[in-house]
Parts: sequence; C-alpha cells; structure tokens
Amino acid sequence: MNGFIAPNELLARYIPFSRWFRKQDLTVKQDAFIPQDSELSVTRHLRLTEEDIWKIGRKIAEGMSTPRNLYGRADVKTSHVIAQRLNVVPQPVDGNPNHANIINWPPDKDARKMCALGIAKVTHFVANPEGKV
Amino acid sequence: MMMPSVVSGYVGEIADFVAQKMKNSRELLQESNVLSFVAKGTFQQLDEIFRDCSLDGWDSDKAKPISGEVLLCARGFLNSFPLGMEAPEVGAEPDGAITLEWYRSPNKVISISINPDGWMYYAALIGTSKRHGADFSLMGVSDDLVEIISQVTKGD
Repeated sequence: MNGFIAPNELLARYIPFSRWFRKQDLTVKQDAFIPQDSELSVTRHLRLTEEDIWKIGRKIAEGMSTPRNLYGRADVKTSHVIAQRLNVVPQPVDGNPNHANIINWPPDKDARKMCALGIAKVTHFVANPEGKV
Repeated sequence: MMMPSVVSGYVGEIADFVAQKMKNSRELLQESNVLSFVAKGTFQQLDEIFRDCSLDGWDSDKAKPISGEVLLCARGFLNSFPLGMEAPEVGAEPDGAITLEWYRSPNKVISISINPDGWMYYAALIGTSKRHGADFSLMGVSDDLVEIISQVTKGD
C-alpha cells in the first residue's frame, strides 16, 4: 500500500443517506463531510476500476445491521481537502485496502462545518448506477 | 415631549390593554409561522430524521444516533424563528446532530447544527464571505443568525 496520498488523487465518500445530497441539482451537503469524532472515512480511487469502487461501497452499505441503499458517492481531490488545512492518511481495513481517513479536524464544531462546506462545494456527486436516487 | 416612564390611572389601563393585545397578536402570528413550518413538512422531516437515524452506525459507518433530546432542541429552535422565514431542509450529521440548511447554490448556503450538547453551530458561505459561530440552541435564533439566513435566501 502506498503510504503517501498525492494531492491529485481522487477520494470517494460514499453516500448511504438520501439527505446527504440535494436531488434538485445533485450536489452534496456538508453533512456528509462531518466526522463522527476525529476522522472521516474515504476510499482512494488509486488503481481501482469504477466497478471496484462501487463494489466496496455496496459492501459497506449492505453489510450494516440495518442495510442501507447506496445512493452514490462524492468524489473530491485530495488537494481540496488539504486546502481546508486537513490531512488524508491511508488506513487500509479488511475488504478495503484503499480506505483512508481525513484527519486534523479543528476542535470546534463550527470550524469543522466551515471545512465541510468548503469540501462539499467542490465535490462531484456520482449516482450509483445500480441504486435509486 | 418626554413620555412618562410609568403611566397610571385610566390611561395606564388602556396602555396595558394595548400591550396585551399586541402580545396576543404576536403570539398568534408566531403560531401561524410554526404552522407554516408544519405545512411545509419541516417538522415531519424532523420526525423522519429521528426515525432513520436513531441507531448507532446509521451512516453505514460509526455515526452516533440522533437522540430525542436533540429532536426536542431542534423543534424548540424552529419555534423561535421570526415571521416569514423560509423553511429549511432538514438533515443529520454523523456526530448525532440535526442540521437545518438554507441553500441557493454551493456559494450561497448556510447550515446550522443542533448538537447533543444543547449547542447550535452554524457555518455559511455567501459568495466570498465566510461566517461561522456557536450559540446555545435553547436561547432560540439570534437576530444575527436571522440576518445571515436572509442574506442566503434573498436576492437570488
């Protein structure tokens, strides 16, 4: 596994919750980029095919105790995350060797929201070809 | 001419009567604003969020559940809005917060989080201007926040 994430690498944040994107213009809400605690899970596109990326997302959404529909994913360049003074580190997990975490979140929630708004603004929503939007 | 600070006698009774009538009218209008949020489905969206996000890991990851306390805070916060406010979109964040969002474009948006600790946090993008801050949600919406929401929703 590559320990360095290049600024031009694409990251995917899976969207298993219908209220994390806006149906009217298919943009992503900042809600999707607020960490539960100190890190936010993403998947690196690195060396994955489109089918591989969806396969990982579907596995995550369907593997929960209450399975979720995978609506899509939010793609964002690593450089846009770094522009918010955050960092991205590889964190391979079982079933997803491309798993990474966005870290270095500011402690104050309003500052976190500002970072999340900045990221959400430049993401590209990709609808799940096998899902419903 | 200087007005007396305390009005007594018959004039005072009239002043009290007028003040009471104004208060009642204000409460009725406030109630109609709350009813407007009901009509627009805002409170129904809150209930749906509570139903969909009340278990750990509702985001297919490590999300904290939305608690009944947060739901009540969000309802109370919405009830404090002044007349004529546009209804927000309701959402949820993985840290257990309910969100209220007013959106026009990726560069004209405000998001408010009602958090489990009783605090309310907001962040807004209005063109090149960025605003963010915090307040206690039980205190209701502040004039400053109403102004920021208006900047987002008006002048399309």
